[in-house]
Amino acid sequence: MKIETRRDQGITLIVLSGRFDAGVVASFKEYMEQFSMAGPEFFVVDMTEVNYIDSGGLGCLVSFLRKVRQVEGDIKIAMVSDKVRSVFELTRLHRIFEMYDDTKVAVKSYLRDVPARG
Amino acid sequence: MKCIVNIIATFEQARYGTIASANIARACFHSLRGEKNNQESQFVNAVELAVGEACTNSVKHQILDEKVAGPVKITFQLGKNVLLISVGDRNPPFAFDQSVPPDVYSLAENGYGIHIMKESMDRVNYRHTQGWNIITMIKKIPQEDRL
Repeated sequence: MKIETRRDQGITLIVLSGRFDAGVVASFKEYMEQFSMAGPEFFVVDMTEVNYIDSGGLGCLVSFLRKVRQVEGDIKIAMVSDKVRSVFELTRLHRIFEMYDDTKVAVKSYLRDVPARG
Repeated sequence: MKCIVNIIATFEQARYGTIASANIARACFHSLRGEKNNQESQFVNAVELAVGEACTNSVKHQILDEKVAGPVKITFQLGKNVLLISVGDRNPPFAFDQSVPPDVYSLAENGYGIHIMKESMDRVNYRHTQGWNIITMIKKIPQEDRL
């Protein structure tokens, strides 16, 4: 699975592509290590090009969410295909992650909610 | 029709087995329902997901001090309107029937695999026999095109 990181208006955009399965868990967790989690961080995971996800991939996202929420940050999911969405729904994880059909809208949703830094 | 896919218990081979299962499911669906049917993707995706979870479990739960990855045998058998799949490995037995869906609200990171199998397939059974764990799954092939 390929992972790219971008910044958009202060939000970290993680763009995934390929199969998000148990075989990439170790590399994804290694990727997560780059985020210090010293303070609140906000992410959008763009899954446009993710063509498969299993319990391994879901577990990674939940683990990431758990770490991010411990420092009062959040992760939102964007652009899942019907195939991937069905796996979120089957496991009821669509109730845990906010999911958007558009990455830009997902980013903007933070800008309404993120408290002003003064 | 019967098809057997033999892999070894590594994540890479589990991925190959999973992709193979999708292709086999697609071929089975086509043989019974033709190629233009809008229920094909749902059927194929469900099989791919369930077989993927079973194969992943075979990899994750093998004995770690074994120097060689164990065998995993995936068998597909096409019935009248069902696809019968079994995934077998040589790992120690486990309490399949006592598995409960994880609590998503407590942000459970593990335990989704068996739940996914049970939700994706019409029937899932487990037995341990002659040193093999065998998960048997049945997926009905939809009879009507819901266009």
